[in-house]
Amino acid sequence: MTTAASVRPFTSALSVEEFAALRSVGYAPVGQVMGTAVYRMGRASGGCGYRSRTDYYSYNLGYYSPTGLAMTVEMPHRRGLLRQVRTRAIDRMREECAALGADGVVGVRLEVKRFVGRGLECIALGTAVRAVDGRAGPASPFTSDLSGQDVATLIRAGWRPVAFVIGIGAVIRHDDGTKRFQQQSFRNRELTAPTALVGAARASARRWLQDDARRRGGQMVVVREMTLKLRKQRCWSTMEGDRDEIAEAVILGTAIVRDDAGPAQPQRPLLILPLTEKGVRT
Amino acid sequence: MTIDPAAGVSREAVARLAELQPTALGHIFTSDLTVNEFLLVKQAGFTPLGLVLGTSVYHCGLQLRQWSRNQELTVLSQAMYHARELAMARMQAEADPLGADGIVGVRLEVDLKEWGSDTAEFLAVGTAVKADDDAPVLADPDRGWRNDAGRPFTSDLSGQDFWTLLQAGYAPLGLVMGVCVYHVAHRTIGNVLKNLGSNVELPQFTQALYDARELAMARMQKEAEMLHAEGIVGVQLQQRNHSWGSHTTEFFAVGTAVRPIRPDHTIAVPQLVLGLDK
Repeated sequence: MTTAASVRPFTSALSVEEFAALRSVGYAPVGQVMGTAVYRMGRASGGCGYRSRTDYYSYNLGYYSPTGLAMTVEMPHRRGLLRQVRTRAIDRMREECAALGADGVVGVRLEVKRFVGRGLECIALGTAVRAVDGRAGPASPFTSDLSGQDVATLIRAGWRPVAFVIGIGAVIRHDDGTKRFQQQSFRNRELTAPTALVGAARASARRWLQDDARRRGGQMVVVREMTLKLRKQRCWSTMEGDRDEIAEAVILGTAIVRDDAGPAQPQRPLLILPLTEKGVRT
Repeated sequence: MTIDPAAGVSREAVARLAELQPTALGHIFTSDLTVNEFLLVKQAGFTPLGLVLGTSVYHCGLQLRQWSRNQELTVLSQAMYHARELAMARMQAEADPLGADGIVGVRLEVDLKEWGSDTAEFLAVGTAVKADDDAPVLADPDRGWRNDAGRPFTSDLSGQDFWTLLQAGYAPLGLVMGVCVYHVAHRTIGNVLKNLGSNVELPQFTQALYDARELAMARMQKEAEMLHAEGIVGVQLQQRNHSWGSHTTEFFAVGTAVRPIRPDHTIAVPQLVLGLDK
C-alpha cells in the first residue's frame, strides 16, 4: 500500500475518541463528505379545504367533521418538498462517499436553513469510513447520524447501521375561531384544535419514519431528533382574511439491523464506580 | 386491540400502533433511546416496542393574585398538572394496545414560545418496552411488571439508570410528579427603605420559596404513596418562570417511584476504577 492515494492524509470531523472507537471495530476514516440542495418553497398548495360556515352546499357534501369544526388535512406537497430537500442532500453526500470508495458515512449532520426569499437550503455533512480489515463492505454505502462511539458500540453488540432515515409530517388546519373562543375562557381548558393539529403532524411523521426505515431494510430505528415547527398563512378559502395553521414535524434517526457476522450475545456491561466526580458509569 | 377513545389518541396514531404490533408483518420499532440506552434495555431483558407520545395544547385560566401576599396560584397549578396528566395518559393509552409492560426514558416538555401567552404545548414522549424471557424473575409473576392499576409502568430514568436499577433488584412503578405555581409577594416600600444597603434575610421571600417547594414535593410523595412505592429515585426539583414574570414561579418535582422486585434482592457491589484521564 504505497500508492500516492494511500499516503494522502484523510480529513474528518471526528473527535479523537470517535476515531479511536471506530478503529477498534475495524473502520478508518477516508474523508469528509458533503451534499447540498437548494429548493424554492412555493405557497402551500392544496389548502385547508375549509368552506365558509354559511355555505350550505359544502355542509351537505359532508365536508364538516361530525363536531362541525375544521379538519386537519395532510399536505402531501409540503411533506414531499421538506423530504426531498433533505434526501437530495443526503444522496449527494452518499455519492461523494461512493466516489471515495468508502463503505459508509458516520456522524451525519443535517442543517436546514431559509435561503434568500422563499428558498430552503439543506446541507448534509459527515465522515466517510472504510473497513480496513479486508471485510467486504455493503453493496451501497450506509449512512448514519450516530457518533463513532455509538457505531462501535452497536457493532460490538451485533448490530450495524443501515441508513439515515427521515420522517416528516405536514398538516394544515383552518383556524375556524375555536381556538380564539377557547382561549377567551376564564377557566383552565385544553385547546382541542391545536392539540389535534400537532398530534396529527407528529403521528404522520412517525408513520413516514417507519415507512422509510422499512423501505431501507431496517429492523429498528434509533431516533436522535424530533422537532416541530408551526406556521401561519393567509387562507384563501374564505374572504374574511382568516388564517390557516400549519404544523411540520420532523424526526431524524438511524435505521439499524442485526449483523449475522457479529457476536450473538452482546458483552455484559461491567458495573464500575469511577473514582472521579462524574459518578457511576456503566 | 382496544384504545379508549376518551383518552384522545388520534386516529393516525391508532393506525400506526396497529403496524407496531410485534406480530404485524415487517414491523419496525422506533425509539428515541440512544444506542447505549437501547443496548442496556435489551441487556436488562426488555424489548423496546416503539416510540409513544401524548400531546395536549392547553389554555391556562384566569388567575387573580395579590401584589403583597404570598400565595399558591391554584388555577395555574391545576393547569400545569392537568395538562401534563393529559399528555401522560395519552402516551400510556398508546402503549397499552402494544402490550407494553412499561415506558422508559419518559420526557415531559412544556413549550410556551410558539403559542402566545396563557397557552402552552405539553408533550410526553417515551419508549414502550416489554419484558422478555431474560428479564429478572418477579416475586409475584401473576401481577407482572405493570403497576397496581394494571397500566404500564412509566419512568423518566435513562436506559443506563433503568439497567442499574434492575440489577440492584428494583423495578420502576411510575413517574410521579408534584406541581405548585407560587406567587411571591412584592416587598413593601417601607421594607425596601428600611433594609436599604444592608445584608438581611428577606423572611417573606424565604418562606414563599420554602412553602412552594414543600407543596410540590409533598404532592409528588402523595402520588408515590398511592402507587404503594417503596421510594422515589432520581428526583429533580425544577423551577421555571415560563412567561409569568419574575414573581410567579412554577416548582415542579418529578421522579420515578420504585418497588423491590423480590424481598431478598441483593445490590451488586461496583468495581472501583481510577481513570487515568483528566
